[in-house]
Amino acid sequence: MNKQEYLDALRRALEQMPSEEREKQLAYYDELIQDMCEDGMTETEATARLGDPQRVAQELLTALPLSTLVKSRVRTGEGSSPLVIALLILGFPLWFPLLVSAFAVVLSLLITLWALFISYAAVAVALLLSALAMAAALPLGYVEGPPLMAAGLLLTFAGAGILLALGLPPLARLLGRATKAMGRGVKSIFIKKER
Amino acid sequence: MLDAQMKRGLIENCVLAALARGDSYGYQIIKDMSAFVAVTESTLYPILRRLESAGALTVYSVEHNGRLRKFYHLTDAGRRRLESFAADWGELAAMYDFIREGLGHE
Repeated sequence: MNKQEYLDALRRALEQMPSEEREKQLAYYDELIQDMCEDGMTETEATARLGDPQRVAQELLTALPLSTLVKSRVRTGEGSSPLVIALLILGFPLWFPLLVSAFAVVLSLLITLWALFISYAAVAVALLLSALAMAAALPLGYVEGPPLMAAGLLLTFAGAGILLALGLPPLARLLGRATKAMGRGVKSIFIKKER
Repeated sequence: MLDAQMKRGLIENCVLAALARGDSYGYQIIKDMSAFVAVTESTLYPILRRLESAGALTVYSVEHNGRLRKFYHLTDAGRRRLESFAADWGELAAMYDFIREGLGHE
């Protein structure tokens, strides 16, 4: 990448920054590349040392004060009036708790689902364990009542346990997917623009 | 690995210290610092801007090879800031000695 290509890529990556701020940063990079060239590097070497323009832009954007970023967001949006900014700020006590509670609802739903899954798994394990215990106790004569009934119970428990256990992996996969989807959803609220 | 907050404070003061030796420009500051701190071009810029808006340094342009080069100048406020940092650091150095001594007594 030569200097102009690099600066163009950086300009594109910084498009959500207020233009005045963006030009200042581009001027800084322009100057840096020229200084590096004077120091004996080629333009390609200099831009390679600065690193990927996308990553550099990300770094510059995160270092920008939040207020500047919010202003540029609002400005690039449709209703670009001071009224929108005022409403955003005045509305803060209203939408912030709403956002938090929405997040909490989703989170609690997820926890409930996982709790259900754990109890389901516990039932399967308990059935299998009791079948095992009976299998061990039966030949030793520790089981009360008719042995045939005990053997029938043993088989029932073992069968039910195995049947439930078979359902475990697909259920776990399903829940895993749901958890991941929620994680992505939450992240996308915060990271609006990423290429 | 140094705590990020701490490292940022240190780098800020390294920039001030680089300018305490005389006015300088972006690439020169990076070169001067690179022997001691790994500072990339994209970390330096936000720091310079922050220090400028805090009044610790001023910017002026000088013509160089037919283009403008931005020079950074340490203000009195910047020098005071560096001095107070160095004073605070004395306290930290004492703690560091204590820690090192403790390690010696294994």
